[in-house]
Amino acid sequence: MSVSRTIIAAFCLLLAVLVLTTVAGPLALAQTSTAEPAGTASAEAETTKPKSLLAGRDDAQVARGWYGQSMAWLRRQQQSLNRTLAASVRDLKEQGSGAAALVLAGISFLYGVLHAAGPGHGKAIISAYAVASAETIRRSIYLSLMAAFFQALSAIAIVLVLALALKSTGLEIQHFSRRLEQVSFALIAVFGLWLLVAALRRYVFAPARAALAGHGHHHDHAHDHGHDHGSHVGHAHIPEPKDLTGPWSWRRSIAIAAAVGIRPCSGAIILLIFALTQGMLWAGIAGTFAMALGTAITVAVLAVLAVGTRQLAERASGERAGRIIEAAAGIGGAALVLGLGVVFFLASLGPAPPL
Amino acid sequence: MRHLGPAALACAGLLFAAPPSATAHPHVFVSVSAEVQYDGAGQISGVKHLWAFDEMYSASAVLGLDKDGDGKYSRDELQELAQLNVESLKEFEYFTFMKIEGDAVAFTDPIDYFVEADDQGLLRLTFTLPAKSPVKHGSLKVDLSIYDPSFFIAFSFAQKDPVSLASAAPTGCKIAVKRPDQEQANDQLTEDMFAGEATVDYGESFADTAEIQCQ
Repeated sequence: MSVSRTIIAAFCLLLAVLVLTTVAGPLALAQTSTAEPAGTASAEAETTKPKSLLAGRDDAQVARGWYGQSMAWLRRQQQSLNRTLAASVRDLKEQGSGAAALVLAGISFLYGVLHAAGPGHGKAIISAYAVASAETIRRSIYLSLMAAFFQALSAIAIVLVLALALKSTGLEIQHFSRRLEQVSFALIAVFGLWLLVAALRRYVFAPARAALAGHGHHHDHAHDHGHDHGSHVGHAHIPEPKDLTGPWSWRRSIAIAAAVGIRPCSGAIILLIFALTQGMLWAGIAGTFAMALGTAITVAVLAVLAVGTRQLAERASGERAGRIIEAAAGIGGAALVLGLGVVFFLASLGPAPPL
Repeated sequence: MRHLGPAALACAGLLFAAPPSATAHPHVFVSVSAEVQYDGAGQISGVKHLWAFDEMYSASAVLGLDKDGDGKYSRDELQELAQLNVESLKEFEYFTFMKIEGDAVAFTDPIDYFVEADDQGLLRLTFTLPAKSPVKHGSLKVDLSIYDPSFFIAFSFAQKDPVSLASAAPTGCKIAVKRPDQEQANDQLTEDMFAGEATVDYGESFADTAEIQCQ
């Protein structure tokens, strides 16, 4: 029991890492990027740091100044990106050159990378799902790409149908996007519940029932992802939610990516409408896909971090502990997907965005 | 094994209790010019805001609002937008944070609000936020910042005329605008903030702040 307690602690740590990477992502991004362009600013930071330490400030103050600087820097970068993006659509319209198209694609891509550092692109949900279902690093990247791709499609479909076909106003489009957001979170919650039930059946109830029935040796196989259970007659009565872990399930992956992705990214909607009003809708669509590629990269980095952490933990622990980690990741990850879905859904019922 | 489920749930629960992170993805960029209003007795009576929106947000917000189809957006055509903006901003207290030596000034619902489009089609929202009761600050320092803690909107003070005082203001006032990423003054600023308050508000730390100091 004490072993499993240690493992639970280890798993808590893993979950904490997952969430920290999600929460601290934007900060880390801001931090790494401050160092590069702002030569003078970082020089200032260096000279002020020792001084402030001498002055006996506590860490919170230093962190806060650092945080404020990075956030303000990030804001200014995004503002200038936003302006360049608008300008590149206009340039493309006026010059129609390939160079302007490249600039638009490049800026959209960068915008996507930066943009996804904030919440709202399914980082936490994709990461939690990937951990729960024991995905490989490559599959986590596929998942991130699919979710971003769906998100791009959703924004494009909304603008094509509402703005172009139905002549809706910008306000109506915003309103509709918000409804889709609620649907997305509700779907994620349902999906998470389903994952959790399957995980509990697999890791808690099935072994318990097996133990009651005297099949103590079932533990030897629990970590095999169910591949070879069929050959063991004694296990025939144990529920086998086959698609919980194991072979890559397109249906399940598309389901989670679609649930995350039907919620359009406001940034893409704004770009598309702007392009539309400039008579350059196709440029907006191209930009939206470039942006999606950018967001996919940010999301994938976090999902890979989360999955990698899990794999490391499993590899570092013994076989018995590894199985416990697998169970904990399966149940905890599923609970996280459910919880995030519920929390985001409830939050989406709250006040609308200010503008 | 059976203890794992609840334990994992507890972990997840703890994680949800964590404070929401500031979001690094503004969708709207606003350049603010604020004018502090004074009554006849030299007390602050409100703040008049002029918010200039970015080009892309402007385009998406006015889509479909040119009802007479003349290619221009008149104040009347934009009044619906102004109304909606002002109503939804209420929830967020108009993102206006004014403190006199650390004491927050309360505001009531905005008056005189309208949206207009400039020659390039950029939207500008004007509104006046009256103080709940006029406040005298004398020689005390007044901090004014306009920011969105959730970072959905990225506010910054305009480069030109960021903050001004109405003509009824006391004489001998100085206004200093501090931009966290641009000035070394940030160091000073954080020190000032911590001298007055114990609580940590991270949203505030990335906001542009205007300090008004009168004699």
